[in-house]
Amino acid sequence: MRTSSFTAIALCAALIVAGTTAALVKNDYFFSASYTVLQFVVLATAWNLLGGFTGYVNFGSAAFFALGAYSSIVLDKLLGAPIALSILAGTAVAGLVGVGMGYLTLRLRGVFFAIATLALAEVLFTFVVNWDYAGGARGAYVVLQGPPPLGFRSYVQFLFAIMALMAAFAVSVARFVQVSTLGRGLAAIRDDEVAAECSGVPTLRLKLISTAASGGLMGMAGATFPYFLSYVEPHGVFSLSYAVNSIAMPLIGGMYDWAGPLLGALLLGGLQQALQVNVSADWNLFLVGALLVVFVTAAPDGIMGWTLRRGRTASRRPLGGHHFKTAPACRSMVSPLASAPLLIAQGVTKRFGGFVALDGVDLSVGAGERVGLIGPNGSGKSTLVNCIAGTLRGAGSIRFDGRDLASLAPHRRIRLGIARSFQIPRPFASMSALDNLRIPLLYAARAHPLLQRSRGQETEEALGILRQVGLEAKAGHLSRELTQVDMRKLELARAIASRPKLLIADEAMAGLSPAEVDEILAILLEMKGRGVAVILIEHMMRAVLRFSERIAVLVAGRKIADGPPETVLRDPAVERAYLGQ
Amino acid sequence: MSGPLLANALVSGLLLAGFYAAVSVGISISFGMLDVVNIAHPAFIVLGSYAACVANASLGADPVLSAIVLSPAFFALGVFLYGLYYASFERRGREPLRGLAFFFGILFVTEVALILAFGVDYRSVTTRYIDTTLRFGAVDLPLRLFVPFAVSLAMTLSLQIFLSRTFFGRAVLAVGQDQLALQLMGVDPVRIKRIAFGLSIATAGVAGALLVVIQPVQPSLGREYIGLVFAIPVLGGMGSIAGTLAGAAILGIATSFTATFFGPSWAPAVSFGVLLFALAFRPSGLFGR
Repeated sequence: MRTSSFTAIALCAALIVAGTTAALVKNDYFFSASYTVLQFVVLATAWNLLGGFTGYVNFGSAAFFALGAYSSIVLDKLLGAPIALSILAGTAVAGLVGVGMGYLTLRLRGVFFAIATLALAEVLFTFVVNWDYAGGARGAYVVLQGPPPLGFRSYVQFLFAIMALMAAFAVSVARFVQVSTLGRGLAAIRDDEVAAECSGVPTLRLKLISTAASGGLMGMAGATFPYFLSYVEPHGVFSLSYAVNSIAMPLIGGMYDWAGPLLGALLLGGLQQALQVNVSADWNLFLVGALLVVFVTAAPDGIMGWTLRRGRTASRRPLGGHHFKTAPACRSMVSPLASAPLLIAQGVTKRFGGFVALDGVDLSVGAGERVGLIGPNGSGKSTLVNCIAGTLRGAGSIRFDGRDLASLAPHRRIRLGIARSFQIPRPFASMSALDNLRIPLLYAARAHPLLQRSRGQETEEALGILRQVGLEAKAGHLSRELTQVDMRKLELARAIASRPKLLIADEAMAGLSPAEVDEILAILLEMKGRGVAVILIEHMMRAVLRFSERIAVLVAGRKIADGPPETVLRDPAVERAYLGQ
Repeated sequence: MSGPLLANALVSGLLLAGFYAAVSVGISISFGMLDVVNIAHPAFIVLGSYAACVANASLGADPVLSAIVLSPAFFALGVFLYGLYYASFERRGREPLRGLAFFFGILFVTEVALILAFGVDYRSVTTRYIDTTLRFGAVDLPLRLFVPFAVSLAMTLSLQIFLSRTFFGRAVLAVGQDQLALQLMGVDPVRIKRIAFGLSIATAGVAGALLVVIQPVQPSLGREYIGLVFAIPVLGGMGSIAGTLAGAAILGIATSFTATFFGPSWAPAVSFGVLLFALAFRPSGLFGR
């Protein structure tokens, strides 16, 4: 279903449900309970944008919720602002703080990020407690006056209708993100951030979008909270139960799908409301915590996980009936600057503390040239690759296709045409082989707008590349289930999918059998026919000699030889490095 | 700013620092050495406080003594919990974030269980020394703070000696660095980690008793200590007991000065603020390599 129609249907459904229940149900308690459940739908969906889709766990949901609530309180005190304005302001404030949290991801990943979000919540809490204007520790009142608007019988009904619309909106946003180019990029970040960046995904920008959207939606849910309760105090809005619920609900429902948090929030939220009436408020919190522990240990993929797993096995049948096209010609066939070398690295130096890994290395590679880069373990080969690809920053100058690379992030470099494969394969583990290729096709081969539904036009192209490397039979397999040699092929295929001018294969054949080495070599040799320059880093001399037009030798961070294979191999310095005195 | 005020702030900061070492040394072991992000640690501290309260109310037992007697129970709890964590997450190679969510759930469950059992009211203990304050000139030395300080230092130093002098202690230090190498030496890393995690929870039990000597406790008090227990090992460079003591000294003095000069309501922000800055600008800690 198209996103716009899904959103329209969701919003209409929310309105109709709100309208009908308002007409039929007389009991205000029903609306208050439903409001709370829907509020959790928003919070869980928002949490999942960052936690489930992007892989960053946020323990500070309560802080964003509270930012929304306190925006409303302050606006009400200052201007007596209407509720719509408060919602907008709450969303904006929480979204901005979300951007700030996004910048934290530059330095903090995994558990450190999670702990930092908890710290963020506690710092904000202390500020609010000490903020007398907003009521401080005593809390603040927001009183709605006059008759409820739009013919609603009570304010609870009115707020319930608003929350229903916000829930429909949040779920639509999540669903849209999931099917868009943006969502695929976020999933790549979740699986492997470095590999995502090296496949052309602008990781920082995507993470900022994700944290801002997640924070903003939480703030939106919090903005109506003061009107709902009429009275807000810091301990209430900063309650850890918001954080626990917004984690538990997606975990229970399933984190990899927009419907997971919705399902989890409806189930767990509904159960809590029932328990709160029939048993006690404390027992319902106990239940949330216990369910979180049980699900995370016993069913980490949640309820949606079971259904998805069944769906995936079904889709693993061979993809027959497709007309395989050979991949379109590379954009690099003939460069106008053909006479100048494609890559010119000069004086590349990289230190790790006192250890000099690269010491003034020069390397140039012409368009379509095949260069072997050899050297003993620890001689700096992979460090050089990382400096060229941008995953490490060193001193010296690197120019590519006439451009200085110094200030460019890895995702910009791959868009210019520098692709690399990783020495230890880093596939996007939650994706199929085919979906692995979609990432560079969407982000590197050409610039796709982020907010566009990924229509699968790149499927044909991805299948073509899989066929080129001999993986078409495994297109639907999860990448983490591939064999070692297939994983190496996928690694190369993903690099090829970015349509590079220069492909750097970092020990793509280490540990493979002779027959498998030949398969990988054949793939690399075929790149020559497409005008792609290749740097082959390899220990296996047989493969290097068969492949290379030129060989460069690194020893202890310095280049000691560079030239045609027969000259280099007879060089006494190279013999000494390899065979000893 | 008066001299005595400053001196008192400094002394109570140092006393506080001693207590902080007790609450965070367990995280130095579990997070710093074993790589297990036990975010529920503060909840076990509060559990320790309640255990001391119960022993104090029913038997009139001294909180510190009862904590030492009860520490095998906390040790066993830690051993059990690590076993569960290992079987569910580490052995299956699941991403650490799920393990984190697991401990977050444990934190919450422990807290709510305490609310269900004891209610949300503050609880405290009665001992002879709690209301005694020694005076040295203008400087106060409340025993309420000094006893926890002394007990904590004794506990932390004996842990340090244990870890650096015994075979088992060195195995704990090694398990954080290279599990495989340890395995090749014929040591079972899981057993080492289970026991070390048990030790870390045992320190939480003792720290809880110290906490209730210092102030009355209520079930959700633990949350306020989450920032603290992680800030100190991060500041101290993770997994070093000496670094933990230094980190505790910094935070203790910073908290005490903030409370003295800006008011106690700002004090909770200190540890979390320091943690945020430490994580953002110097994740390897002040004394990290």
